[in-house]
Order: sequence, then C-alpha cells, then structure tokens
Amino acid sequence: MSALPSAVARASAEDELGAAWAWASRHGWAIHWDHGDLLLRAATYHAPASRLVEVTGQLDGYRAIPPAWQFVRPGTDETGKEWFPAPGPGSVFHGNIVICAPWNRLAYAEQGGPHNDWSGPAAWLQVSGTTVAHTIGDMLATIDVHLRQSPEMMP
Amino acid sequence: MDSDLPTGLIEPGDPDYDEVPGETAEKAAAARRAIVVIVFAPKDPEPKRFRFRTDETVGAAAKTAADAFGYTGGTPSFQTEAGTVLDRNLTLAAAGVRNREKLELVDAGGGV
Repeated sequence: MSALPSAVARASAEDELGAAWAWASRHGWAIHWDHGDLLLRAATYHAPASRLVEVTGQLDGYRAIPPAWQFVRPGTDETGKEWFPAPGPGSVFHGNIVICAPWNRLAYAEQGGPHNDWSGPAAWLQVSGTTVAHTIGDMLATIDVHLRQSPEMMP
Repeated sequence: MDSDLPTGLIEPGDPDYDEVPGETAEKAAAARRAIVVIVFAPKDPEPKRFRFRTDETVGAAAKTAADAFGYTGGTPSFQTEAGTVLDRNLTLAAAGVRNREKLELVDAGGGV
C-alpha cells in the first residue's frame, strides 16, 4: 500500500504511543503494540453489549497513510458483524462494518471502502467536514466516544 | 482568585495553578464566575490547566484548549471522566463543569 520504509512508520507510531497509553489508562482501554508487525491492538469493555471489544490498527505506511482500523474478535484477526459495534447517532461505525473516517485507511474506495471523495488515503490529513484525528491517541479517543454511544453489537 | 486574572492556559506560577484545598477556594471561584479545569488530550501524556469564565461556551473553551495542545481543525469538545461528551453550545456552568474538574479534549464531529 505504501512505499514508506517500515522503520519510518514504526518510529512515527512509537513516537505517539506514550500519549496513547496514557489516554488508554484514563479511559479503561488495554493496548498492545506489536513492534515487529506494526500492529496495535486496543480492547475495552462495551457495557451495553456486555462484552469485550477489540480494534486493531495496522500501521504500515504511517503517517504517509492512515492506519487500517477494524474491529476483530478479541485476540484474533477475525472480522465480522458480530464483532462490530452497532452505530449510535452520527456514528463513524457503519453498517458495512467499516469505521468510516478519514483516519481509517479501510474507509477509502482504494481499499474497498465507501469513500472516493477524500482524495485517497495519502491526503488523509487534509480531509475536513467529519471527525478529525491525526494521532493514534486521538483515533482511539474518537473510537471510544462513538463506542460509548453504541447501543449493542451489530445484529 | 483574583478577579482580573486572564482566562485561557495557565502555567506554573499562576496563583490558580496549584489546587488550594477547602471551601475558600471554591467560594472564590464561584464569586469570580471563573473556574480552573485540568484538560487532558489524547495526543499528549501531560495535562494542561486552563482558567475559563463559567459563562463561556463549552465549544469556545474547548477550542482554546485545542489550540494550546496544537490541534487544528475539527470540532473540539470536552468529555467528562464519566465519558459524557459535553454539548458545545452550553455554557460551562450549564454543562455542570466544576472547578478543578478533569476533562478530556475530544473531537465531537460526526461520521459521514
């Protein structure tokens, strides 16, 4: 997806992880960073659904392109409706099980997402008119805000 | 609190920077119609302290905080420790923000 060297992406991600961990400790999330695979796992308890939810962020190419965020079966890479929170009002959680935000690579048409109007993932920092999150901590915080408005898991 | 103290980001050395426990500080804050809040941001491990008028809107106060943390764009608001995102159109008083309350800076924009 990106020609950005892994070492550059790793350095960019790890530069932000201290703040992300601090955020997680304030908000009841657990974060695990896979240094080798550039994969972030973040999990919390989704009270309305009475279950653990986990989101992964694949950070190859970061920050030339945004992470690829998706909800997964906790502890695995399995995706599916049963692991995706249902949207609340004005949510970035979409019925097609995509976190629909410019800071998610998977929201772009180039990656099979619905958005061909954001000028592609490389322009993610210039997109306006929707949620703005330019660091890993801010992305997790936005996921958290929308998760708190989610009434249940996807039916 | 001194009634002439400016609002916005406060730094060490400001008379409101450190908490003065007790009823006196609370009464002074109420009389002055200004509060000090401790704001955390997801991009920064360390919080910052701000003094705001209680008749200032949540949106305006959050924008001041966002600017201080180096955010550009977006729709900043505050999230309480209980997880509630405050209505940007309410004043801090109407939103129930208390003196010395800890708030998280969040983006309140909606999905598309």
